[in-house]
This record gives sequence, structure tokens and C-alpha cells, in this order.
Amino acid sequence: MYIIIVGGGNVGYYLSKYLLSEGHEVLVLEKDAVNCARFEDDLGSICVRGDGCEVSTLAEAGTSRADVFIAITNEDDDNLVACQIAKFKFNVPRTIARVNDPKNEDIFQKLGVDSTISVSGLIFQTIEENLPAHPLVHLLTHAASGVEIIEIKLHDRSKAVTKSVKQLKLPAGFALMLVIREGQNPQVIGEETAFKSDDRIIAIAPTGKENELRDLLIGNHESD
Amino acid sequence: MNVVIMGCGRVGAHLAAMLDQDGMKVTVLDKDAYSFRRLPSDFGGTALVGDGTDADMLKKAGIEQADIFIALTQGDNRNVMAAQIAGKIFNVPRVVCRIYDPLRKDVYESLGIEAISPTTVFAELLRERLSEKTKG
Amino acid sequence: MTQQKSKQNKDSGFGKFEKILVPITGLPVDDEALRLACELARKPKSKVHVFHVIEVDRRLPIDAVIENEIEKAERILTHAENVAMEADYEIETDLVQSREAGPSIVDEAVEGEYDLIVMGMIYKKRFGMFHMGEAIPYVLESAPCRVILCRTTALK
Repeated sequence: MYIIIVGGGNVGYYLSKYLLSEGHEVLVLEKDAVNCARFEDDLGSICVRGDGCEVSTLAEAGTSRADVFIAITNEDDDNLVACQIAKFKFNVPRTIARVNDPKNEDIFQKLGVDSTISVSGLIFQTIEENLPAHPLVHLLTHAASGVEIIEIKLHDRSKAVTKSVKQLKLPAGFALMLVIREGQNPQVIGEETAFKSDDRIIAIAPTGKENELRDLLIGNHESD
Repeated sequence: MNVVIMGCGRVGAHLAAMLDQDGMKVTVLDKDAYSFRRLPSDFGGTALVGDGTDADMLKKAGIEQADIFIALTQGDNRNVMAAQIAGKIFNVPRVVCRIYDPLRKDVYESLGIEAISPTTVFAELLRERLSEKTKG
Repeated sequence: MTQQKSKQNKDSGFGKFEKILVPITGLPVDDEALRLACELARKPKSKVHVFHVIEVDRRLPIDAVIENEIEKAERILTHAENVAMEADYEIETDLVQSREAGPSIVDEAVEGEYDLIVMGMIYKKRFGMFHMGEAIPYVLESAPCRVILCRTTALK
């Protein structure tokens, strides 16, 4: 695949290094000469000095034959414009923008960017996963199907304890997949599986409805 | 008429003052409070410090009630981003944005954004002027 | 330069070139550079290698078959072979495609363990200033071996 990256800072550097090792053709567009020299020295002729929001620069970079276009500068406005020009002027099938202000994630997608990476979102998620007492952990967002994969930890007063999946009567769109118990292999959850305190449940919930599932399994979170 | 102007540079401040005189309800937004010195002392509108590419800031500036949004900062990309947030997220009926780069202006115009490139406008104006002089 | 002279040069550490790389672009000055390289080379041991880079526009994949460029490159290399033959020297030729000539020349010099690069350049001005292009400054900065530049007088 031909992948164009706008922004040759640290993220751009390691990303292009990785993509090259995967056998892709990579081109980095970077405004700063010093940053460009680092690519030239370490990774060969894969960096062009220029503004990735400029139509003429993108034309020379062969953007119209790019399969993926990734804008990862520190400026949200630059990332948005670069992706929009790539998508609407050069018909790049997949555009990805780094979003520095998490509010912009939704806005960028509404404005035509195919996917967004929110740096602060990723940091939140990692911290969330590492908080031991947190009952609900996001594992994965599957944007295309509007679904979240989450992990929920039951405690002794959780609603789901001693109940089976059948008894819980989950609304459509929710599903419980795996139960993980201390010292055991993960088990696929069936209709009759009954839950215990300290069970960790891997579940699917529609995006934005994670708390509904938590209320069903654990109880109203205000009472926690 | 409610107007939100992003960018209180020479053009932004001048336009804000004119529309204020015309009796419109004007809000000017700029990241730098020092820019508001350009507004006339009898300016009757609102001046607000903030970033117009920030959706929350636009809300504070009354974007939800705005009839017109004009993006006039020095940055083409900031203007384009704010204009799209105003038009496509907050559904402001009339959005105009300044894009210095003529090629970028063409791209966004084809996407349905009303854009003006001072670069081409001024160059054309100069050419017209020069041809008048030569004729005279 | 005569055989004797190059022997003298050898004594000064200059002239024991065993592998010489001559990057060419198809300009008349390349002939001068190549003749010089042949003189500096010591028969029968030394090798002269002529190298031409087709710089592929990023609009095209790196391995694109650009027929007119390839034809042109082959003509340039054949011409170089003839020039060398006139100088009574047999050379090797090589053709590569890359994004930028400079790094390709340096890579070849490193991998092939050359001890000299001889390049021709023309006198050129850009925006009123003397201009060497992209490849020559890169080679001068990054080449692992000696570099000799052969600059012509102003060319039209």
C-alpha cells in the first residue's frame, strides 16, 4: 500500500518506520527541515519538505494514488484540512486524523474524515484499564458497527450475581461473551451460565450505552 | 441579525464595527484580547476571548443563535475548520470564510463552503486598476 | 593526465583508485568526467562503473516502467560505453530507479566499496545564485570515499 503521513515529528517517525518494516511504501510530508533530515538519514528518501495542506504539494506527492492518508500533526485544524483535501480532491479511500482535542473526534467524522485517533482518549483508556477498582473498562471500540467491547467486574452486591444470562433479560444489542474467573480459563457464556462475585465479564454494548449494561449487571452506580 | 466574527484583525475589527453600525448584533472572537484594541470605542457588540475552532467556545459566542458566521483569522486551516463547525455542526444559515491560498479556496468552494481568497481578489483588483490607468 | 603523472599522484596518496563510480545524467560534461575516470583508473585492475539514476516522480510507483525514460537512459549508457571505448577502457554500466539520485549514488558507493566518485556538473545559476542542484551537495556531504567534481565553463 502507498501511505502518506503528514507530520514528521516523533509519532510520524516511528509510525513510518513501522509501516516500512511492514513492506509499505511510505511518504512523510514535514515542514521542518531538521525533522526532514532525520528521516533522510535514518530511513532514506521517504520524506518531502512541504505543507501537507497545500494542493500542489499533495499533487506532487502522488496523493491520488495513495491508499491511506494519515495526518498526525499537533494542530487539529491542519489535520482536518489535510485529510479533507486528500479525501475530496484526491479521492484517497481512507483518511485518518490525529485529534488533539477529544471534542473534535466526533466533528472530524461528521466532516468526512474516515477515522480519528484521539491522543487524550487513548491516555484515558489506558489509565482506565489500569485502575483496579473500576468496574467498567473499555477494551475496544468497533466504530463501523457502533459497538463497544467492554469488561465488567462483578462484586458481591452486583445484581447479576447468582443470576443466569436468561434471567437477566438483556435488551437487544447487548451480549455477554466470556466470563473470566480467578485461576480458570475464560469460559464462553451460555444461556445457563450463572454469575458469581468477582467474575469479570467480557461483553458487547452499543456505543454510548455501556452504562446501561453496567446498571443491569451491577446496579445503579450511584449506590456503589 | 446575529453575527459571529472569528478573528479580530484589521478586517475582522473593521467589519465588526460596520455591521454594528448597521444595527446587527455582533460578537467578535479572538484568541488574543490585545486584538480587541482595534475595535472602535463606541462598539456596541460583544468581544470574547477564545478559540473559534473550539466547539464549546463557539457555543459561548452564541453560535446556536447566529444567522451569520464569518471566519477571518490569519490561518486558512483554522478558518476552514471553524466555518465547517459553524455550518455543518451548528447549522448556521450563512457562513463565509477567508482562505488566502487560492487552490485551497477552490477545494472548499467545491465542497459548498462560501470562501473568499484575498490573494486573488486583490491581485485582480490591482490588474483592473492598472489597465484603467493605462487606458486613461 | 598521463600514465606517469598518475603514478606520481599515487605517491601522494592520490591515484590508487581501484573502483571508480561515475554517475551520469546525459550531459556533455559527463563525457569529460568519464574520460577523467578512465585516466585515473589503472588498467587492468581498476574498474570504472557508470551509473544512471532515473528519478521517479512520486505520482508513480517506484517500479513504474517509464518507457521513454528507460530508452533515454539506455541511450545515455550506450553513449558512455562508446566514450570509454575511445579512451580504450571497458566499463560496466548500471541503471536504477529511485526517488532521488543523491542517496542512490551514495548507497551504490557504500555497497560497492568504491574508492572514488567522479561527477560532472555544469555551471548553473538559479534565482541569480550559483546552484549545484540536489544530488551533488548530497554526494559531497555523504559519500564514503573521495569525490572529484568536473565543472565545465558556462554552458548554454
